[in-house]
Amino acid sequence: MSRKLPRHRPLVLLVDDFGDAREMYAEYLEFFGFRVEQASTGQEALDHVAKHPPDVVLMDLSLPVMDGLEATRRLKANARTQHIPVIAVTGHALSATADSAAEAGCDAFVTKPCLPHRLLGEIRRALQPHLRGRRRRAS
Amino acid sequence: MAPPAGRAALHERLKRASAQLEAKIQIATLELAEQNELLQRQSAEIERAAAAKSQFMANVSHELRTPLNIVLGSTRILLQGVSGALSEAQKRNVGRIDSNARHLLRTINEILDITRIETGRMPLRLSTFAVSDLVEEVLAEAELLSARSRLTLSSEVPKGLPRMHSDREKVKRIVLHFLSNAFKFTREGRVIVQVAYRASSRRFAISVADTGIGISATDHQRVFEDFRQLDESTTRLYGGTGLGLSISRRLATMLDGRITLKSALGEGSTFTLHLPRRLAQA
Repeated sequence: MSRKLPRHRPLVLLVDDFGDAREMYAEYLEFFGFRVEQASTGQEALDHVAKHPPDVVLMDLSLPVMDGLEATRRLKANARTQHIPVIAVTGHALSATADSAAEAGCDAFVTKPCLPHRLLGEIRRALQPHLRGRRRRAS
Repeated sequence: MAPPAGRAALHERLKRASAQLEAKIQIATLELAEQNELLQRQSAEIERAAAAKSQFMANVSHELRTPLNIVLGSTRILLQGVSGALSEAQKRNVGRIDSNARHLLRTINEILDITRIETGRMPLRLSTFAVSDLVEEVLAEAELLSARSRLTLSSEVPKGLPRMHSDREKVKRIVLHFLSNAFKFTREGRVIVQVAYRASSRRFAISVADTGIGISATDHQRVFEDFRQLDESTTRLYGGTGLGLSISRRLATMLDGRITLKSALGEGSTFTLHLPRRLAQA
């Protein structure tokens, strides 16, 4: 695995109610040059986004207080945050969560177990069109 | 003309008997209706129980995969050196955690697959494809297995086969499973994939033959059972979850096909997947 450090140190918001999962992904992503913020409920995620808009959100779908689908819907309904890519993560394999994630506006969907390097790949993929879009807007 | 006394009595008796019969029929009909209702209630209960079971399995799978995700992820991070370099001894130990956690994950996924099939939640994705392409793909994927062994891997696919209409991924999965079994249970010799098409029955036969340890006739049924490897000790020796063939058998049934086995102890095994050329959408 190449340790290609991103130039702008993009900010990733990790949303998961399972602390071990957040810490594991955070350690990995920080090693590869990302800045990481963490939230454990949908509401916390929205508060974080309002204060420090991240470059990408990693959203576990089953969360207490407000679930990941609802949080994503609100991010996508808000003109200020709708451009932020949301990657849905779920451990539920039987339910039709992929469809509901797409309906809620998630940009990508991964199922657990999701190894850290796969997640890194998804994040890089999600960031590329996003960064291109920003450059276009800037020019 | 009035009937004679004897006939009147007979008529009376007939009428009584007929009334009795009617009453009996009525009771029988009532009983039948009751039993019908009972059956309907029971069948609804069975359906509820099946739904509850599959929901339970989905939850169990979720509960098992969440911590397993951390075990797999953290061992990978350690092996990648993200948390600092490991000594060779540490690498060996972390490697054992990693391979066993992956085995556990495979088992959970396969149990989940069986649950999906049995509750009708495994969708069929039909397409039309060339069996020769599929065999080529399967051989390419098995290249890794054959590179690690001293076995020769080859195929015999006749020219001019008709195209198959079925669920390509599922056909491929079954054949790949045959192949991984063949490599698992064969020390030396060869593994060969053969395709035959019978125009009269419009059925394909895709078989994988090996020169491995073979299976005695008395065990031919048992290899398709859940969690079955013939000698429990071989699970450790040969790896695998013991669910592969039972999943393959279920998948074959979904594809309106079946799996046959020709084998004897010490004489290798041939697993054959028989499939219709065109699977009709249910």
